[in-house]
Amino acid sequence: MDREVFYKLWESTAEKEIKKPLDIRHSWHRVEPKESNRSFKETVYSRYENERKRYRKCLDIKEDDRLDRHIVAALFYVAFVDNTDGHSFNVFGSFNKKLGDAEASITHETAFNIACGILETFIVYDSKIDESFRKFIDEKGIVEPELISFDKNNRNKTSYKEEILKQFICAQKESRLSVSQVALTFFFLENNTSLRYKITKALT
Amino acid sequence: MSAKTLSLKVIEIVGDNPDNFDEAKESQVKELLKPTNEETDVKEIKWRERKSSW
Repeated sequence: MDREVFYKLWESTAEKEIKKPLDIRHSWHRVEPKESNRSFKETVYSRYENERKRYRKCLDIKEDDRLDRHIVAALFYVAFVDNTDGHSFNVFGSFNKKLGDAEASITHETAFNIACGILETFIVYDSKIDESFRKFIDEKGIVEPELISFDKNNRNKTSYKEEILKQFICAQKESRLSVSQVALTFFFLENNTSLRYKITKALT
Repeated sequence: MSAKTLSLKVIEIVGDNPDNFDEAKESQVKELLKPTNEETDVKEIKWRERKSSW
């Protein structure tokens, strides 16, 4: 994903998702990105480029070799949630350290939503993928798997997406949020979606 | 599936006034962000042959 594609995806997917945490606020809540849209976009792109360079170097991938769509989505995720200078969102515009976890959850959820949007775009426009599956993704997007819990006390308290986000937040706290592991999660989500597509197709 | 997003759950705990965000609320947020693991009683575990083929 070069700068031009990144900017297009930012406009079509990220801008909308970044506004969502602002919509969930109640009258007194103030949730806002720490930077203006333009500089936020530049910051995330520059982190994305650095992550991509580091990833390519690590795996000895040539500059002109294209990266797998799950890796692209994961590189974006890791670039977006980078907390070198604190998380991307301010809750109440506060620098209160205690609010760091609230800021982390909003930052990770937004990153996840945008990364799913990127993955969906890459599937929908990939002519090598079966056309009816692309249409399914275009209509339904990446489908969230049902969280099956055999513990009676845990049922309905959480969701699949929520558990992924919690684990990613933990991994970041450990300073071990890995592009490969985030990519693997996106691979599983796409695989689950294709399974749901096959089931839907078989039933109709 | 949980209807509320993780962000919304956190924002609800944070509350309306940042000055009221005390240690009790902070630990509530920390608790919410803990992954939900289904705990297994280790004493009950016995070695068994693996059944799956991969």
